[in-house]
Amino acid sequence: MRIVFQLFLTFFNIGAFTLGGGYAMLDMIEKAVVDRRHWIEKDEFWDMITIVQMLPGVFAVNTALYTGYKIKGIWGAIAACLGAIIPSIVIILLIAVFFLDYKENQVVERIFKGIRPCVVALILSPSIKMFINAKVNWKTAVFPIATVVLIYFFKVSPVYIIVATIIGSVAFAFYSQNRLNKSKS
Amino acid sequence: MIYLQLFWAYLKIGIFGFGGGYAMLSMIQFEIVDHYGWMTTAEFADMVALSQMTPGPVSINIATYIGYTVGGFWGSLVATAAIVLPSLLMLYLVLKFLFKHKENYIVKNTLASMKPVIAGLIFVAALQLMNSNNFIDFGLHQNNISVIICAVTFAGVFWAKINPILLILASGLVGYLIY
Repeated sequence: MRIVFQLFLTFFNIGAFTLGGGYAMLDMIEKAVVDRRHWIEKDEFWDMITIVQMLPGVFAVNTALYTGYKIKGIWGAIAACLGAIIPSIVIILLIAVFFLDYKENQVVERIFKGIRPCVVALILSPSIKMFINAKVNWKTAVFPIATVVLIYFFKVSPVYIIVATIIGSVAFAFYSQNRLNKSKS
Repeated sequence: MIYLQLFWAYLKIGIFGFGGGYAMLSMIQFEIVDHYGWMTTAEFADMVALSQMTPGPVSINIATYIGYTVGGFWGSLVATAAIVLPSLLMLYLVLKFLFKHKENYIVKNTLASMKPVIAGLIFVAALQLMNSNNFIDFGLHQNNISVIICAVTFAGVFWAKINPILLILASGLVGYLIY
């Protein structure tokens, strides 16, 4: 019980004071659960993170869930997850209440006119990084291009594209594994 | 009814949100801006900026913010719960299957070959915000300050690796002084 509560507090602290989202939180989580509390081994933690990165959903929430689970089972998972999200909910509610009131304010409007093109660049940058990371070449370029065309021009739901991608990727993985096995034998 | 729509929209985002927060943005945009019309693209950009500048997971910040704008206090809880719920329900499945097969060829290759699509998803999220709502002075005979802000921010975050929060604050200051 004490550990469950400590898990909640640890993740609450991280959720309340870490700027920059999931990857910035990762560092703080490692410091807290590996270095300070010794709840989990360093290698074990990073092994887990490589898998958690692949999962759908909010990365920080998944990290909290799996770290919490490793340490104290399902209640540990729930405590860590609640700890990670409650500060966000409280802070954003306060901001949303304030911001929706001041949206029409001249000063706020001017500030946000400057911020909007900045946000576009902040999203553009990780997309280019992902292109590089995925090693997109002339052959594989058809996938991101099709994604962009389908969503932007044909208003296809990204959900369908993701489902199709999963099915296609699994099929391709099986196919290439078979070919690999055949060439070995 | 609005709670149900909010829950359903965010449940899908929680289930299919592969590739991290930025890739999720295209799904969120599709549901919130295109499908339900709960927000304009300018409001969407404002919200992304606010969610970046406040502590905590960005996607949770966005869910709470959208939930509140659409359905008040309860709306914010519904949206946030809906995005977390699939992760919680998948916990056992993932522990049983994925952690035991982490060296599995199929698992590894499936995720690797999803990457180009995820790159496209993130790019669409940026592309959909490139309109006159967000670039207010774009044009032949305009001063195009918004384009300059975008270009400088891109260089700052992509090459110089400057903290995005600093860039948001600087852009806000520029906006305040110029517009």
